[in-house]
Amino acid sequence: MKLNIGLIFCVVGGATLAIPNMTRRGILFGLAVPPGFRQGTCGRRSVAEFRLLVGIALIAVVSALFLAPVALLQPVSATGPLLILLAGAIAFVREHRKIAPFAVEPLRQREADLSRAPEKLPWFTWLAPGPFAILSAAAVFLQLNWDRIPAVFPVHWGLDGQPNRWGHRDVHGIYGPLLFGAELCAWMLAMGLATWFGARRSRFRLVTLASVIGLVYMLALLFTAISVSSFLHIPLWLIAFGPIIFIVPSIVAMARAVAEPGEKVESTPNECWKAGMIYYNPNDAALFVERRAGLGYTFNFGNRWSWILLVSLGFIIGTAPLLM
Amino acid sequence: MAQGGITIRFDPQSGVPAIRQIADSIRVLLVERKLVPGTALPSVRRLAMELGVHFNTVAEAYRELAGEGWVELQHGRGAVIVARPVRTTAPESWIDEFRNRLRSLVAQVRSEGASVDELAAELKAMAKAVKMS
Repeated sequence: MKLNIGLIFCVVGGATLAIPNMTRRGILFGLAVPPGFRQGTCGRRSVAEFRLLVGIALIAVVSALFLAPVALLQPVSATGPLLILLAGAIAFVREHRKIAPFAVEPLRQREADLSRAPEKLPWFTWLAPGPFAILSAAAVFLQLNWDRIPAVFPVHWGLDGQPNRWGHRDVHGIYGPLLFGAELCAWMLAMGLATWFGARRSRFRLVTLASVIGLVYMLALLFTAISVSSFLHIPLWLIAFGPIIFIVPSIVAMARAVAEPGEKVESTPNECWKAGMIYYNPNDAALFVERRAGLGYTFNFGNRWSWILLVSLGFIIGTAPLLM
Repeated sequence: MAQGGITIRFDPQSGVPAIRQIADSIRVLLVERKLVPGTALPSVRRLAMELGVHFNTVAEAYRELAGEGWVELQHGRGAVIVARPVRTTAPESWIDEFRNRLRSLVAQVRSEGASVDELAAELKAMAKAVKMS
């Protein structure tokens, strides 16, 4: 069991250690840097210091996990990944401040092509209804097999792999997870489409939309698996680690897209980035801008729609205890 | 129809207001007939996003061009370029204003390091292009 939890810690640690590489070549710790800076002494030292701090945190939590008595396993397991992420955030901000004097402004001049036709969504957007079809099919399947569902079934498992919460065979217990899954899928899809229409044109935007649609499929399959596991034996490891099959290719595709030599750093003013992570620019019409820390897009918090989307996510998460 | 690759540029560090830069850039394309009547300009939202400016900035630039008779703002279709009646007589003051603006522009680029020869060559090329248009 400790080995499994340790593996999760290592995955989180590995992803945190990779953060300096998961940005465009001209960006380091949230700042636009001169060409060659990353490969220079200062850039390499900065990355090494970041990794040292994250590495120490990773070793500390893994050691704590293996040394902790069984009674403390639950809190150590819950706080371990958070501590690694916290160490990553502290190290990021620390290096961001250190290299700030070397930062350059990305090319501020912007161009717009007046002759380009209005945008059409890419063909694969038509795959978007698929996840809802999967969830609907699961609901029909459960309805047809209603009598096979046990009166009480496990819905949550502890770190020891044993069930610790139970659901009941009623409309709420059976269809709740599917409904919550549909809510999350709809929100994710809305985010993907908002990225398409609310971000500047770039190849990266296409990759992001494709990844989001892939992740929506993952969510639908995950909630379907959780729902039908009430009476079909689905291995726990498949539910726990299955999402990796979707997440890893998405990360690889996005990392490759940002690493392409021809891709330029998005022209967003340095002064609008707080600690290289939060973008606030009320004078920029874009709802989403490319992240400077990690892959993907982040909100422009100067756009009121970003707050509306965040509140809607809060609302969806708030319905989880009611539905699950 | 407009030809491919008709771009406008916006430089937030130039010191020239964003509305001025956008309206001027589009006007240049209109005068040079790179944008012809019937062409729809990008939506306010899309152009503002691409240039990284506020929606109101682009909307104001479009309104300015509409006021000059270059474009028509149509509900649902956005801004569409229209045939503009050619003025046969320009306002009397145009030559003074033209000289003043050109002088200040020349002074600005010279202060930024442009050589006199480069400037003269550029002005000559422009004069030639104007004659041919």
